[in-house]
Amino acid sequence: MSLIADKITGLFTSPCNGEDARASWRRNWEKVSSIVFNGITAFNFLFFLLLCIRLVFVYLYNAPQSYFYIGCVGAIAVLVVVFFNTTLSFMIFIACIPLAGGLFSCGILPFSPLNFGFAVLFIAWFLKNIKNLRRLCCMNVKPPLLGRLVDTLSFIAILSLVVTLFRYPWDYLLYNLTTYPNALRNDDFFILTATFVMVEGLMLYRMFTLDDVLARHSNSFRKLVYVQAGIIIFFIGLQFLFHYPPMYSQFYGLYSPFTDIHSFGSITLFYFFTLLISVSKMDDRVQQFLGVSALAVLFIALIFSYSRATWIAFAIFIAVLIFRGLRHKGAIAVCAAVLLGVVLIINAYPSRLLKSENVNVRRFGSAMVVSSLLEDRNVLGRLFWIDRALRIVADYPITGIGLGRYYGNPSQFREFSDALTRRMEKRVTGPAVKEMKKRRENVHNYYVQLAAELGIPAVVIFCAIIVAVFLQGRTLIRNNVHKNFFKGTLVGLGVYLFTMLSMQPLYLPDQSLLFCFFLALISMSHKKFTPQAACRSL
Amino acid sequence: MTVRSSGAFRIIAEAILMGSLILIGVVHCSHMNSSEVMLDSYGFFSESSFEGEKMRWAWRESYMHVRPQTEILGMSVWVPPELVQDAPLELAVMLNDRLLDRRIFFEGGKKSGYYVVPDIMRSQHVEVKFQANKTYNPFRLGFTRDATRNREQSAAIGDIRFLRIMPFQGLGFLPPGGADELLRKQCRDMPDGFRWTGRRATINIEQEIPKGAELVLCCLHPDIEKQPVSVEIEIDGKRSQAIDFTSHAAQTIAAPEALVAGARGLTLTASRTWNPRIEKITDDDRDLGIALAVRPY
Repeated sequence: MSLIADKITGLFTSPCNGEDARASWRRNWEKVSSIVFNGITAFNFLFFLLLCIRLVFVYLYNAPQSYFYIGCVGAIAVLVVVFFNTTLSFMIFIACIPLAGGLFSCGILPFSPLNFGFAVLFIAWFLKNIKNLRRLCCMNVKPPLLGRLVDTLSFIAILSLVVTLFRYPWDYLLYNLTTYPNALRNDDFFILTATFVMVEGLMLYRMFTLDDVLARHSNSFRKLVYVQAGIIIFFIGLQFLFHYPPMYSQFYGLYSPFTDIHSFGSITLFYFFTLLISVSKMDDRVQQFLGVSALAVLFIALIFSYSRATWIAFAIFIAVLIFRGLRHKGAIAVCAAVLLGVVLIINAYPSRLLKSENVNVRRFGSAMVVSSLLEDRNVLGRLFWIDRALRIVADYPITGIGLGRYYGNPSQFREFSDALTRRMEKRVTGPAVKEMKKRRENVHNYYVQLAAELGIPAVVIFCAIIVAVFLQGRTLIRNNVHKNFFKGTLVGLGVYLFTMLSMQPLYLPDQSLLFCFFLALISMSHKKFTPQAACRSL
Repeated sequence: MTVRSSGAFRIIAEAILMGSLILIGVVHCSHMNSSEVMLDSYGFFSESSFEGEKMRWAWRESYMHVRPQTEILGMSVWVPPELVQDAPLELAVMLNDRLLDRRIFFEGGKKSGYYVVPDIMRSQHVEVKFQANKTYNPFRLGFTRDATRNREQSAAIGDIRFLRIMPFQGLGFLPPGGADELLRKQCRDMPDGFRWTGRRATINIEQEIPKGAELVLCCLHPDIEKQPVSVEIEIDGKRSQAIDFTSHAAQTIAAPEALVAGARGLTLTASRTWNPRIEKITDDDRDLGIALAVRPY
């Protein structure tokens, strides 16, 4: 005990010769904060390791015999590749994220192997770096504040998981932890899946930013974005041309290689804008041709995505890019007037669009015509879901109710607020309101849902991470480090974050991994190309 | 804007992060100690649609918290035929840890049950618990190729519903079955038009019990002499009287007028039920409580 007490008192040293009290206080603070945050980092790594081991065990234990052998061989192969060439294994994994989703959506795989694959990759990476754990957890170096933000968010999610799991009876908890790998969003234990999905993304970010070997190859990882775009285009072609898998609504509603039209729309927008800005500055004719072809396919995919939020986000960001590109104030005013005029004409004569025989045109009309939008059941429904989420935030502002638990429609929040119900009953019938109360749904706004499930501090930290990454991206652009690519990536991320106002794509493993990979790509490049700035900036 | 990592901004940011973590920890601890209902339900898996109703698959034991809207609550249960092909499923329904019903299912399909429980209106939340005697894993047994159903599940249970109006013919009475003939033979005092209850049933007083009428009750539990059956009578949730049955003889009680006047429901709860099929007496697979007939004055 005295040894521990000595260690603690030893942390707080009095000013050295020539050092003023302020500098001494700062030195002591840095010691305390490094112990707290390094402890959090180490805890996150170890807890996530346990989650990964559990996931691998449960997947293999519950898999049919053929999948058990395939899983074992795959896991051993990943372990071997990671030990011999970590960078290669990560490159294969990152490139294969859309591929895994595509094989699952086509029905070739019975479940998406992404979580399993990432768990094996993490275990292998952890084992390989176990000697460097102390260094990885930043015991000796002062990590960037961004890393601490990411670790804190992971820690909040893990804490919420642990607290929620302890509320369940032990036998049920043990049963679920040992035998049930596929908790769906209706299941009680979806909190385990939701937390794993969120933390795996954040861990991917930390692995990329902590491991110097990976950070050295940031340029190679950057090129993987084009490989991913190629794989996505392949699956889009397969679904669009051969209806494999069938589209959401006969000829509309592309979603392959992802799981639903909305998340497909979000990520396709990201690739579209990244490619658009990269291709516009390319010198090589062949690259330009390939880029323009890819853009054309992605544009068609966006049209046929059937997701109104995707269309609206696309229109807004394209308009902003055009206005920025025009520079001439008169031209901007003319363009804005034309756009406004088109919108007004559509709203003045809505029947041509709303009564069209083409489903896609009708859908487009319902997004453009304000009166139709205000009557739309899906739009009104979102007001109800947001109202419910805000009441959860009011009751649990600091902790939320646990990741992934909103969808279960907790009984104490099933009723909507009286004001909203009164207002809505004028637009929708009583039975429809009753139906909405019973319905299990997501908020359709990631930020509000995150606040309801993990508390306001988590949303603030999430937003701080985004801002910090955007600042890093801006530093890269200012230093002309792959300027067009990172400009495109930032715009792409901006659209993606905008679409999250009406969707929640980050609850899906492929989206979470891709999103965090893009964040990591910016941070890695920032760390590699601007070492001086890295010391000074976030 | 480049921010100095070693500057005041970093210290403030780290202090805010640490403060948030401490706050989150304290609030989590306070929630652990408070009686707030954070865990809304447990023991449920994903939902499926059965005959137009969405139901959630349940584990061996499951519960859900509901906010009572009326005193009549009900639910539907889907029993998968695969589960009962070897042995019947026994499902106990409990309300706030009090046994409400125990049903035995020999065949698969959708079944519904309604219960009148006036005292639930006194609390903001009630806990409805389900306990099954067996589970099965549809994926492992080869009933489905859907890997997400690789789990131990029992029956699927629908949302708790609340009825606003008491049905004319009451609630909790069983349709006619093979044991009716047995009752006519063994209990000759029983008037025609009797009905069997499950463990618990409620009569609509206004519609079914005329003034001065008598209630004739009879139990046919095979082991009634060794283990007497107690029947509790409640009027609108208030305990009126209890009757013990030690033989198959019918007992007659006068409907207590003072209590019945203006009352809505008379609820009979048997201490236990019996199943003629399990006892190998007839093929009737109903869980029988009390046979009840109303004899007008």
